[in-house]
Amino acid sequence: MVDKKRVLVVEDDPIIALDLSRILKSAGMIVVGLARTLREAEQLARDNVTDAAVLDVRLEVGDTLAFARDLSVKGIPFLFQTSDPRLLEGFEPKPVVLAKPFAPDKLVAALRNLLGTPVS
Amino acid sequence: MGSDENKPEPIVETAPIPQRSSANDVLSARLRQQELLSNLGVAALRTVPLQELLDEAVSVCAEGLGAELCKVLEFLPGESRLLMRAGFGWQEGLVGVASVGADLASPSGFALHTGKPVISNHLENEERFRTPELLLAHGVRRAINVILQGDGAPYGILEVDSRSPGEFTEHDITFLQGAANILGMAIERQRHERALKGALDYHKVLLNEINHRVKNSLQLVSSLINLRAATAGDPNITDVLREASSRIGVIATAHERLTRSPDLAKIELAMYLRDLCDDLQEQVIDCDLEFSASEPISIPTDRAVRLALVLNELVTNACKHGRFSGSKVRVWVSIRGRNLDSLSLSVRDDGRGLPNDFQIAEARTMGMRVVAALIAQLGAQLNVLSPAAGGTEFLVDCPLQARNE
Repeated sequence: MVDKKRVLVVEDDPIIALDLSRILKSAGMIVVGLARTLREAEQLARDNVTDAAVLDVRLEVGDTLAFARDLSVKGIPFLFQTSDPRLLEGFEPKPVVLAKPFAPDKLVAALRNLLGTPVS
Repeated sequence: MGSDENKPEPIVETAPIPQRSSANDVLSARLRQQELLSNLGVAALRTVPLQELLDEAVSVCAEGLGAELCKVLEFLPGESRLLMRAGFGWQEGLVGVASVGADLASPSGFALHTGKPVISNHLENEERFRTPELLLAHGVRRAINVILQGDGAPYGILEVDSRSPGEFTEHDITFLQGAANILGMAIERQRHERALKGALDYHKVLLNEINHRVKNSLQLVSSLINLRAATAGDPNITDVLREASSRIGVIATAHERLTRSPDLAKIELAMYLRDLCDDLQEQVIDCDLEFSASEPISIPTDRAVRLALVLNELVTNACKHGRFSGSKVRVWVSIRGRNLDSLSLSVRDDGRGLPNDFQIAEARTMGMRVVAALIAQLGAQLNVLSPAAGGTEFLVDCPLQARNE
């Protein structure tokens, strides 16, 4: 069996975060952490080996755009899930974006695509 | 601006109008003034930036009164000053910088506060007003001031000045006030346009915010149901909850499409149903879904959402019940405009077909009851066919508009 992929989730809504976590776990991935704030996200990214990230764009305070750029620099692939895709206009290079609300399968398929892992 | 409003009585220091020129000269000067006013009127109707219009106006008014100098003064209430906004004939660097007092002791201030035109034909002997430094520095001997005002608060003053001897007359006031009225209307219109644009921008922000919240809320509801589905423990309950979540997805997709549509009341059905089939395909892995549309069909959003819910049920149903064990079901969804006021939506599968005695009206599954209710609400007709090639076809004929009955 291939090593389980480790995914960081940044989402300020606890219920959506729980659902994301469940979807990822049931797809055979490890959730390294659910971050609700940028500070938590940065902490989790520092302390954990991370293969990919799922990012809400707008948080209660601020957004995840700069955080996403940091991930790019570290070579960690990520996707955005947002209810306002316009927030990402002009983000380069063009990121993977899932419009909320999204079907669980879409999220898993997009993540596998990012990670380059085929459907098991 | 009332056109029948009495012209304010001018403050003129010299009463009788001297006959300076021949009747012919006067006539041709007045005709030229008329022409200038008419051109200015056309310029004011164009949507040019205000500064351009003011620049044009000061040159027009100087020419119209045969004077060397003209300026537009904007009233700055906070400073009680009148600032030169546009100028003709003045030293360079004064526009946007030079100002005169807006108090009653200055001719411009007097015209501003009383709304009455002011003529000073002998500034060197002027006793009613303090002659502004600006005029003295430019050797101005006579001046004429009229108020510049739209519907609202005064914008400022339009003033023509001359170094030459001679006199401004009441006819000159008529010309200058005419020009000022044209400018006043243009300024007012631009004020309104700015206010409208501000309101529009604000509403766009609000709409965006509401859309964001609606989609987030739909995600929240969907997540809650998915979480419950995952912990239900009973596969039947899990399925039921997943179906509920998928129905929310149908509504969410409509909302997503709608926020990208130029018209919030209408939605393009073919693209919407295509998106929906793409989403459905990911949920029904043991079905092959094929979508086709003949042309774009624009229909009211609430009808589109209902049709989409019908489609969701029919497709889910075909995938769930149509299957022979082991094989994939193929489902064809097609939408056609039938004529200008109705459309047909077909959902056909190659599954095992319905029982012979199937009656939609008596169907007891929740899904079919939802379909029957939506069909009735849409004023549509649902026919269930058994194609010769096997399988089942659900055919919906639906009017594009709600019918008044």
